Amino acid sequence: MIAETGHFALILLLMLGCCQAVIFSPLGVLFRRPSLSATSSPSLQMAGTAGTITADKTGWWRSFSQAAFRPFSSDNIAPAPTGPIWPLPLLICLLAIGAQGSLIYSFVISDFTLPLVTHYSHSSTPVFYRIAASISPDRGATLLWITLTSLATILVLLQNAIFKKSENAHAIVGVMGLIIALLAASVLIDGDPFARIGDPPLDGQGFDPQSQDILDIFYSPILHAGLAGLSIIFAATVAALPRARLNRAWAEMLRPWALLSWTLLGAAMMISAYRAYAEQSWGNWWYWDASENAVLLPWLLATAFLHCLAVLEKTEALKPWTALLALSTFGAGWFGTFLARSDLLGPLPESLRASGDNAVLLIGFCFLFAGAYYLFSRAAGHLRENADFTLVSRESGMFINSVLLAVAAAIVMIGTVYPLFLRWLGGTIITVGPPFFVQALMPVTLAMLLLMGLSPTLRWRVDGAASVGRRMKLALILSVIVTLFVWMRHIDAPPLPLLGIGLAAWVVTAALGDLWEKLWRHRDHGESKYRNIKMLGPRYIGMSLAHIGMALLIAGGSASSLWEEQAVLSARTGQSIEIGPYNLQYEGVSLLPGENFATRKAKFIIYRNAQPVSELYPEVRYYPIRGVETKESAIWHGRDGDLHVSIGDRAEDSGRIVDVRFLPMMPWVWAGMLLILLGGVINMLTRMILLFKKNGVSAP
Amino acid sequence: MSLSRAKSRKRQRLYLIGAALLAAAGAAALGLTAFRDSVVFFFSPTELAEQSPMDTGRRLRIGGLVEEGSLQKLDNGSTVTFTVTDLQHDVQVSYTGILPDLFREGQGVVAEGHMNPKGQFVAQEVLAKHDENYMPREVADALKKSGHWEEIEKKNAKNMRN
Repeated sequence: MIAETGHFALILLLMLGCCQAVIFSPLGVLFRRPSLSATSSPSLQMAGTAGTITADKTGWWRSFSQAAFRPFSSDNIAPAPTGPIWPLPLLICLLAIGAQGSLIYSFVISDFTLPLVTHYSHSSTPVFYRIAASISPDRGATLLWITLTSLATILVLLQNAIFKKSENAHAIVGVMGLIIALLAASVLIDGDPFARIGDPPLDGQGFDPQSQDILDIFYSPILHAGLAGLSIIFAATVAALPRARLNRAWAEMLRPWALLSWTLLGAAMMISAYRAYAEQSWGNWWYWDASENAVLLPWLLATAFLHCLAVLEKTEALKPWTALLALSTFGAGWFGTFLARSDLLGPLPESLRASGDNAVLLIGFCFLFAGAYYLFSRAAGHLRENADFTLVSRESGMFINSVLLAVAAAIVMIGTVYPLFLRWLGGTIITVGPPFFVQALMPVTLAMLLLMGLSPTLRWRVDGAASVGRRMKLALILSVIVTLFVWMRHIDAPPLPLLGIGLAAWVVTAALGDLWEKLWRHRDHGESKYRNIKMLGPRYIGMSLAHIGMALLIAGGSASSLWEEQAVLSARTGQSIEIGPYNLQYEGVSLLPGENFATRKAKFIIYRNAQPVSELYPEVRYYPIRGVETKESAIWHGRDGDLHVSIGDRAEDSGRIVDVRFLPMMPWVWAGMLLILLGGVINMLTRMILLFKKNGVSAP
Repeated sequence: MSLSRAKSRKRQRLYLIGAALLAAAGAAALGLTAFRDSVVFFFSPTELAEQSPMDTGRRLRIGGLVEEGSLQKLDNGSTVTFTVTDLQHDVQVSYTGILPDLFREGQGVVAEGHMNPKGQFVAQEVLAKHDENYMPREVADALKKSGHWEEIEKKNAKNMRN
């Protein structure tokens, strides 16, 4: 019964989403159709719209085609619609939460008449992971995406009501309705999560043991919250395009959303990187597989968008490029989700293939983005701006960097899609793995790092090359010294990672030098230096943290790939293993029961200079429900590197196979990722505090 | 006024087109050079037998079923060898390290590495980021080519029922 309620809620939600899309349609803004926009009550509106559409379909179509192919001008546009905006989005949000809740409930009570529950859950699965199972496989995840998107609609309405009235609020809600309707159609048609079967099995097949981890649970909600944020950006852009009103107000409205979704996508990537690192059989911390690229792609474009939005807000320049990025970011998010869910790229579990081919998700993608890009192509030439900046200026630095980010995204896209294309064409099977991505992305990344150090110190509009050189002198000298120092200590190191480390040093020294300049060299007008800290503003602090974090990430990644040490051996109890600066003592294995698994837990004591520092407990877990073993590595983040230990089977000589890796500077990678996230979070938090205090220093 | 607006519009369009072109050209150039050097091709055991001897410096992927009873441990077990088959041809694979969780005899496997002069495949990686019932797509294709797909499918279906 509960599942049927959820099913009904979902179908109702699909219909209401369509209604919302029609009533608040940007078409109403685009074409002069008073019946679409001018009436006041929603019920009247609905009736009126339905009436006109069914009554004179041909007339409607004629005016549509006339309007669509009429040359663009901002005069032939109806005034912004008025009328109550809240009821429909609120209703949709409640329905989405209802559907989501009923699916979660079905998982919690283990209702095995639902094939989805049978596939992903078992009566012995802990309740916590049953909830996780309800939101992480693809159907449940799309439902979660809908729920979070409808919540985002409510949030954008709140933002509109509390802070600044947006002239496009109605159109934004309309586009959000369209997105929700498409996603709901995808859930219902591609593979219905609420479908029941007649003869249910006695028990389910269990939650995927490799996903049974605390961190993994947060992956799906964080990722889909990020995608929901991107959909707001998309909707606001589509809503603003017909009137070509991509102005400062638009940028200000979108800034929290851009920051939020950028931070969330970054967090999702960090979780997937750390999980891949900790799960022994998943290879490295970044493996460039389809599901990782599916998040990296929108993240890269969101980063570019965030920067261009800052330029637009400051100087009203780069409008078409920013709009293009805004549309493409959500496009990349949607397409990436489609790629990761479909079995086109494999390897994906059979259970996912059984649940449909995601055709509706793909058709919806084509439909939505064909429309959006058509609107963009119409409006692109009419976006008025005062783009008066020279080649050496902050705008141009940020613009070039956003182009580089877009190039990087294009490379990731090519590397992900091209093998698929080849197989579809002629059956040649190729693999595009880490070597491809590293080689293709390296030049772009290095150029990006160069600009990342430079552009925060550039002045807006006009700057002189000579004065830039004077400002950057110290950073340049320091980074060259660092590079030479590393090179002298490791004379045989290959040049590329060395260049990465040098450029990372360049970014850090440039950022710190600029901070020092702003804090101490700046005039303090007789007040305290503390005022200078307040003058920095949330954007500057967030940006500096994120840039330094990115530099640490690159430096750590380069160094750990250069100087990684690995040993695979058969260890006996009491044996000592030497790796890097550490000594590991193997203390044997004990068999322990887990929640729904049995585990062989090994104990290692880490010694450094004969002093015990810490203990590590790598495990081999056995999950009887699926008959699967998983190998959970244990990681110790030391001062000079990560110690990564995993155990395998019993060896022939009654020892145990042990895989020990020492990755120097790997903690820098994690610290860098945390700093990038922190940059986003601090930016948002300070902005919020300033907004509510009102009397604080306004954000620059 | 209108002249300057038209001019700025023209410039806008110019930089937009320029950026798009630059992005496309850059991505294409970088992608193509990287493709030439670092793309890894997939071979089934049959294709490998047809093309032998293989260049030992070339990185490649192979895939098929792990033959039952072929798993052997060397050096106390830190190095393993097994036979990968598409039921027509075999290739011997050696791997140093801990085998992935879902590695089983009789199941599909994909390995990346290179051939050594003795005709043995030295795997740097054995890939298994998937579910226990899943047959890697490359392996399924290779088995379909060798004509043994249906019997494997039947066997798997039987296993799943048990």
